[in-house]
Amino acid sequence: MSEKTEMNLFMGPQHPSMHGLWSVRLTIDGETIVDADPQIGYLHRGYEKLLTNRSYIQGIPITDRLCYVESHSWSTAYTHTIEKLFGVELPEKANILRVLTLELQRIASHLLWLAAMSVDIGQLAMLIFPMDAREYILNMLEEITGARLTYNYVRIGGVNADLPSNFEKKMTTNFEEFNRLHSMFLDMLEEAQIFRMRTQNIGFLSKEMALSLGTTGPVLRGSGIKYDIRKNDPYFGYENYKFNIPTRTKGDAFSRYRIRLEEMQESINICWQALDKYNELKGADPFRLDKIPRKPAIGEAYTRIESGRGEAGFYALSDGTPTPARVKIKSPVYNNLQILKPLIIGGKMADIPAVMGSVDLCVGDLDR
Amino acid sequence: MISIDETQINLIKNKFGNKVKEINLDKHDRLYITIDEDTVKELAEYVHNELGFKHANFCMGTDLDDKIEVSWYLGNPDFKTILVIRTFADREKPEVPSLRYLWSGMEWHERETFEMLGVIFKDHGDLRKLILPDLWDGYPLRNDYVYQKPSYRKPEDELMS
Repeated sequence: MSEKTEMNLFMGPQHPSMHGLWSVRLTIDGETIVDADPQIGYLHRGYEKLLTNRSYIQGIPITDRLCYVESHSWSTAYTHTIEKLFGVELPEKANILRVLTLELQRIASHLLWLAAMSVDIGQLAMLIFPMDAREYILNMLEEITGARLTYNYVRIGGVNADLPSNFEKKMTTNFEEFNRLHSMFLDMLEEAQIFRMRTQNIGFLSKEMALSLGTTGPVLRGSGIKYDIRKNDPYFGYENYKFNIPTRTKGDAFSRYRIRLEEMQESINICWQALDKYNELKGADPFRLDKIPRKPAIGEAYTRIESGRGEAGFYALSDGTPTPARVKIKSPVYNNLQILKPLIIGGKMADIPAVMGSVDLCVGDLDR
Repeated sequence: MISIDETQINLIKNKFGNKVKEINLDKHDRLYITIDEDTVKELAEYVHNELGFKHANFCMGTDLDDKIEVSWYLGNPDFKTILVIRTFADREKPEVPSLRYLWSGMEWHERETFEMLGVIFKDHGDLRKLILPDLWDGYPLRNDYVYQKPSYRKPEDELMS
C-alpha cells in the first residue's frame, strides 16, 4: 500500500485541549501532520476599535477582561502606556504595589497553565493541585484588590487601594501553603515517565526561529535567549529587585515547562523584596496621585510589560481629544502561537497538545 | 540594558541620506524611522543584517484620514531600544512591501493589518483574512468604516476550498 492518502481534519474549536475557541485545520497522512493552518478569530471582540470609542479611564476595566487568566497584567500594561502618554510619574508606593500584584498575578497565571497543560498531556491528577495552590495566591490578590478574577486595581497615576494592615502575616501563611504544594509538582510530573516522554525532545524551537517569529516570554527563554522585559526595558522600578531569569538552551516543550515552574519561585522572591521595600516607606507615601491631567498632549507611546506569557504591550496614539485615536494591543500569544505551524509539521498528532500546552495559550488576548 | 546610541543612528543617516524623512528617538527609547515606501526593504535588510534587529515585534497600521501609516516594530535582545520602520501608504491604493521574508513572525500581523485597514503587503504570499470572517466587507479600523452585516457563509464553501 504505497498510495498516499491525505485527509483534512479540523482540530477544534471545541476541543478540550484548545483552551478557548480556536482551531487548527490539519492535513494528515496517517498520524503524520503534513500541513497545519491555525484559524483564529472566534473570540474577536474588537478591542482596538472599542478602546478608541471610550475615554482613557474607561479603558481600564475593559482591558481587565482581555484575558481572564491574568487580567491584572493587561490592565497594568494599558495603564502604563496611558501614563507615558499623559507624562505621569508614579509615586514610589504605587510602583511597589504594582510589582507585588503583578508577581502574584504571574504565579496565578502559571498555575492555571500548569493545571491545563498537565491534563492535556494525560496527568489528570495534576488538575487539582495547581488549582489548589492558585487559591492561596488568589486569596492574597483578593486581600489587596477585593476581587478574584478581574481586579480593576490599577488607576492612572497609582493603584486603587493600599495594602491591608495584616498583609505580611497573610502572605507568610499563604506562601507556606503554596510552597508545600509547589514541591509536590516536581515530584508528580517529572517522576512520571509519561510526562517526560511526551514533553522532552518534542517541539524543538531554534534560537533563530524564536527571534524571527517574535516569540517572547518563556517560549523565547526556552530557546536560550535571556530576554526579559523586567531586565531589558525595566518599568515600575524592577531594576532595583534582585532576581534570576530562568533560561534553557534546549528549546523543547520540557524546557518551556521547566522555566515557568522556576519563574514561580523567582516571583515569590520578588514579592518578599517588594514587601520589604513597602515596609521601608513607613506608610507616608501616597499610593495614588491626587490629580492627573484630563487629556494628554498630542503624541504616541508604545510600552510593554513582562506578563506571564511574554511581552504584553500597548500602543496608543493621542490626537489631543479625550479619547485615543488608535490603540494597538501587542499580545504575546499572537506571536508565540505562530511557532505551532513549523513545530508540528512532520510530527505526530499526539505531539500537538504538548507543543500547544508549552506555548501557554489564552485566546482572550490572542483574538482581542 | 543599553539603548541605541548616536553612532548607530548616524550610520543609518549616512547610509540612507535624504531617503529618511524623519528619524527620532523618543524619551521612552523608541527609535522611529520614517522612510519612503520603496526604500523600506533596503532599510529593513540593513537593520536586520547589520544592526542585529532580528526580533520581530509586531506590525500595525493607522488610518490618518489622508494616508495610512504602516509601522513595523523590531527588537534586538541586546538593546533596550525598539526600532520602528514607518512608511505611509496611499489611501486609495495602499501598497507596501511585506517584511515577512526577514521576520517570519510578521506573517499574522501583516494579515491582520490587511484585513483591518486594507493595506496590501506585496509578496506576502499568504495574504488572507485572519481574524475576521472570510465574507466580511470593508476595513473596520478605517475611520470612515460603516458597519454592514456580513453575508452568511456556507459551511461547504469552507470545507471544499
